[in-house]
Amino acid sequence: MERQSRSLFYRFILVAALFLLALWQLYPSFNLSKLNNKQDENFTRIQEIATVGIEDIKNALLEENLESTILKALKDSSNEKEARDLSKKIVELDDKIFKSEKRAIKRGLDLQGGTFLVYEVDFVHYLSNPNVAKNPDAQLQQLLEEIDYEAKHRNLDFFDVLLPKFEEKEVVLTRYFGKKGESERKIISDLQKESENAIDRALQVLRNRIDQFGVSEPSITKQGSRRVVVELAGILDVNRAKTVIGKTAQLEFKLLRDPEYTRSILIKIDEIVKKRRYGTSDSTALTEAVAPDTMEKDTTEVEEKVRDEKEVDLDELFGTTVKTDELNEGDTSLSVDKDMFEENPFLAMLGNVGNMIAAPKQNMKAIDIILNYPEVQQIIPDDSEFLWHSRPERIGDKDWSRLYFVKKTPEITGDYIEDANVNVAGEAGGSSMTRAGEAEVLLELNSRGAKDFARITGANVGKFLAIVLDNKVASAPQIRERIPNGRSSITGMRDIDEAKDLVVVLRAGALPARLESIEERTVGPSLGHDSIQKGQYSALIGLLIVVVFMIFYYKLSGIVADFALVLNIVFVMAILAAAHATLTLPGVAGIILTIGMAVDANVLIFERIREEIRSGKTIRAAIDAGYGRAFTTILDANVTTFLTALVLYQFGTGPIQGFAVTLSIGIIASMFTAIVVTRFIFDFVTTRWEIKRLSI
Amino acid sequence: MRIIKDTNINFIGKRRIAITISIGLILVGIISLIIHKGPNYGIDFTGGTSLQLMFEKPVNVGQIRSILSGIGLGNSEIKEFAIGNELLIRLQQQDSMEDVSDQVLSELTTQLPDNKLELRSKETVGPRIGSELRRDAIKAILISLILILIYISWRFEFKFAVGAVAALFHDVLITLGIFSLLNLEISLAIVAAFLTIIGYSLNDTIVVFDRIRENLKVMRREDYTYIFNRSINQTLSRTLLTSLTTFVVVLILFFFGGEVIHIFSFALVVGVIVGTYSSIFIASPVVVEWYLKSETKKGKPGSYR
Repeated sequence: MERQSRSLFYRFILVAALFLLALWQLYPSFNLSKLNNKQDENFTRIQEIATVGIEDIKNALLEENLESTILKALKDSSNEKEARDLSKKIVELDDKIFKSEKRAIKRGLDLQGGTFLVYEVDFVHYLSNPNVAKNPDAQLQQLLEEIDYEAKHRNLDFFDVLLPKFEEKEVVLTRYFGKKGESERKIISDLQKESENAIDRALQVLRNRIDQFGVSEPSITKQGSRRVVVELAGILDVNRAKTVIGKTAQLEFKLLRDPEYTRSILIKIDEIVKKRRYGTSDSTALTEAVAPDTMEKDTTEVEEKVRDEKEVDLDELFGTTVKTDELNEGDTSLSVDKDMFEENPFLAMLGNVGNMIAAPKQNMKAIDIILNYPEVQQIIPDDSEFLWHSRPERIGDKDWSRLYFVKKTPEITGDYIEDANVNVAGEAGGSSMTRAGEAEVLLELNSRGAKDFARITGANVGKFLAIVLDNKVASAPQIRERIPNGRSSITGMRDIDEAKDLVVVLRAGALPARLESIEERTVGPSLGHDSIQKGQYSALIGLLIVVVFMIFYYKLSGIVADFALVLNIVFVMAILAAAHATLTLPGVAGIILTIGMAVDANVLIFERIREEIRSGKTIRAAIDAGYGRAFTTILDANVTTFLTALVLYQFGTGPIQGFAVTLSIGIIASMFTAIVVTRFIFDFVTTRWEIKRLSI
Repeated sequence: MRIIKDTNINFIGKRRIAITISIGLILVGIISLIIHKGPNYGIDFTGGTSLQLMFEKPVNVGQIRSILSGIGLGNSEIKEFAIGNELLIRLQQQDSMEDVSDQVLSELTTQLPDNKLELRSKETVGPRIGSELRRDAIKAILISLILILIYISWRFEFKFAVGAVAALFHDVLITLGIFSLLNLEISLAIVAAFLTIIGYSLNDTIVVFDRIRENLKVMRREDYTYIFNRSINQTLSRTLLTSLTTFVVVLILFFFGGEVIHIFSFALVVGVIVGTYSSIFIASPVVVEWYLKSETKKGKPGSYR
């Protein structure tokens, strides 16, 4: 008897200690909602006395200048003291909330709203970049694209496909990668290491960018060999976040080619197009197609337009050789110069904006196709390339986009950027290139960059220097004089937000490789809120029904099982909080499912005890036998469920992993509460009192 | 209180009927799958974009469709939720990941100026991710079945493992068939539900098997049919009780859990019913059948029935 009561005592201590530990773990989660409510009250009050929005307050908290922000926006100066007190309170509370959040159960993106993005590193772009490959050309580009296609469609590693493909096409690896004489295996493994490095650098760059964006607890992780997963909680403007994250932000300064030289290349291209047009397809059909009566004459001659335009269909230019899916579906019409189209089909597609070459926006795709003709590629010198302007501009009734012919090798790159800032024209320090109210980004190069910049600008006065961002020309100002201080600016921003975002990406640096978005899941905050409420509601009703049912069916023993059930939920939540695990909506479903399944162990035990009592055993013996016999059953049944939960965790991402986690925790916790806790209660009661009939 | 008194139902004797019914149900499901050309995969597996929108006032699906037609997205799938002012728009897979959803949102906002809308959720999955996830899902289900096969072979006997896995295949196939008949979408969450059904059904099966294992030791003189029947009857009240409590909570989840996990809970509701049935009528009969076959081979008397 003595020994038994001692074992009872220890078991009591164990259960009580675990219970207290669980409560301690759960306290921050409970407290958090209280703190948040209080903070919301403060926010409402402050919005009453000052003209600030919630976003402003949050930004100010991040930049630690709340008080001054509020004082500046105060509606009535008599409230100054209250504003000071209130802002002090908010800052304190914000600190407490931050600390509680660290220890509270984390809510998943589907519960608090947020966005989940998956990006894939564009290996083709990365490996065809002159920093990685020697003399990259169109052949390499095509080879890499084929490798990429094969890797993706056969679900193989890019680098496992690389060598076989090179061999298949009879291209020597050292032509583009590695040093002569190096073994192929070494070159491949070096490339692999390099690209892994590139991904790690990309992660760092993304982290920097997102930090400047002010998102709380962003998660940026690598997945597999070429993917990056970004999770942003509670962000409001997903699109803006996406532009900041996805931008490669490769900044390059490239010199424009001389106009005469450019013109000579364009004329050569024009000849090729003409030859193709009449050489490849039936010429009579073509002459018919462009016969004057079928021409759509532009009757509304725009005042100063020198161009006499007409619309032709793409097929007219290319014949039927072009697959339509390469082009914009729907509108396939081109805008060409009517008088020139027959003689100079390519030049007819172009025009001038100022003294720059430009093309109507609708012609851009066709021009890109022409520029990629193999014959045209041969005409274009290896050291030069055509680039589009980043944004079309409206002239007359058409959108025009400028086309630049530039030196391929950049004079200087964004690696030398020391700082970048937004400037709104009219403010001090801005360049003279912007109109009033227009935003521009001021760049400041570091000392090495500034030296190079001074040399380059000094040597090329009078020429045009294109500022190229991600292969699109942002602006191409003329160099008027040598620029000694390493300062320049990017103009032509749509609005101040675009300028701000550009500053964020320029400061954080360029991504070493292009990222391609392959998956996006966004949950709005209101849906998350609804999900939490509905989840809580379902859990409560489910719990209530199960609790009542157990009492109804098992009487007092049912109450014991119910106690275990509630304790089980407390433990599951506490383990979630302690592990700082994320609670997702399927996770909530997992907890609710656990409510239904957790009583199973007790049902097994109770049914067994009933059987033993029926077979004539004493109460104590029946309890012992019931627990003893049921134990292996419970173990086997739960291990198998646990196995499937494990597979689920391995297989799933985000929300589904949350489900697997709560389900597994629920299984473990239910085994403890159903076996140890209820046993303790039974033993306690039966040793304390002489029980004649068990209420079961 | 006891709902189920000592029962003595001859479950094993009815195994032929039960298996016939099950095979019939599975066949109906397979025929439906063939007619529908495979499962109705959601965007998780096919790739594409889906938008969940909430409007201030109820909206007319036809009107939304004509607005979408205006921007060349007339063949998008539009689904209404029960409340009427909430819509799910599934956009056709685009060639690239180019984001057409912004275009949809701005078009709807300008065309319906007096009915404010809110983006509830948005999912865009690249086409390749879709096929990858599909492969992963099938892999996950197969791996869990193999693990179960190994564990049960270890703890019980290989015969039992086969019986259990047969029951699990049965559960998944029937649920899949019901999903196909009702033309419900198979998403990632539904695959999770399938795995949960596997776990749940197995839990039930193991309890019965455990009793069989125990009774095989105790009732040496009895024949297999009797032992198996006894075991199922002895555990029947527990099986029904646990199924009942689990069924009640998933039913509540189905009705009150919200639209996000509506179909997920539906899969669980089906799974609990099918899983309970299969652990009584499929798992044990398969094992019995095997025992009886091997016994008659050895020349021992088999069943008295």
